[in-house]
Amino acid sequence: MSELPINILNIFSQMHFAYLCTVNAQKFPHITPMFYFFHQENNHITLLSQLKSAKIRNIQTDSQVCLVIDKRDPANPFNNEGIMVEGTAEIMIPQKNIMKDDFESTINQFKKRYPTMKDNTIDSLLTDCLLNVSSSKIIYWKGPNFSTITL
Amino acid sequence: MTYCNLGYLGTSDVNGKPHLTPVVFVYDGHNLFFSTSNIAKKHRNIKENSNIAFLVDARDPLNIDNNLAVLIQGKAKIYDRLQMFLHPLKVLRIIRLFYRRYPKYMVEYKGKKEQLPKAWRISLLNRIFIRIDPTSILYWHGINNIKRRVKVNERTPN
Repeated sequence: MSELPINILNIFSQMHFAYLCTVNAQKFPHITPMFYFFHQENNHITLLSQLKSAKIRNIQTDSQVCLVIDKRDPANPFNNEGIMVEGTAEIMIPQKNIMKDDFESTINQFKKRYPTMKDNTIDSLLTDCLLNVSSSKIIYWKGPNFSTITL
Repeated sequence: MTYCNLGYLGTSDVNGKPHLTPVVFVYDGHNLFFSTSNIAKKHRNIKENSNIAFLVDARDPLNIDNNLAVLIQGKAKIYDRLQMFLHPLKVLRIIRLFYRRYPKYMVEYKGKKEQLPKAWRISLLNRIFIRIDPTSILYWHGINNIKRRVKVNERTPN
């Protein structure tokens, strides 16, 4: 697995929220802000979710997803920086396609990644499934400069 | 909507492949507008499929209960050169709103014009406006969860 450039890795490590876009059967997009965990070893991204949510229904219909993680500068657009990830999402349901221990250890990874959150934040999300996003393309931008990485 | 400077625009091509991008936007009291280049992927998607989602949110990385967001789903209407010609006053009003809401961005874009790709330069030749006509608006606060969904039935005149 190729190593991503440092500016992309910095975005993954420094930011708190990812924005996930999915599309339903009528080709209507849907966007949700989400906590995320980036796996540098395989460039996968894990997201916490609930089976009843609109994004899960959408992914069951079409697994194509797009995800944005960005830094904003309200004074200078040349400092805006971010990544857009295109890929496919797999729904991971405990005791169906992920072991219960692995599911719980992933939840603990999230608790470590978000240490400044209130203690019960990750628990209160009532996560009952995970989304595993395999990236196929990453676009990085800083101001008006873009670069694309195909994985 | 008034104090959040960036929104996230979700579009999809005819094959249902999603595309998501941050955009600046203005509200004229009736509709939201954003601007894009006429060669941008979002413009190509909207020409194929006018369904869009638009998210505006305020984040608090320390306490998620403070997070606020509005998700608008609806149809996009393109103000291309013909529409701009037919509705010049509306277009001027939108441009004025952008200058008022993003004065620092406008100064930066004008001052560093040479550093911008052609498609990004502020010009009516390569920029277009897109109006969002909402069909549904979802508002939430925190995670446990004040959600209000409003179905929007009224059609907005041109």
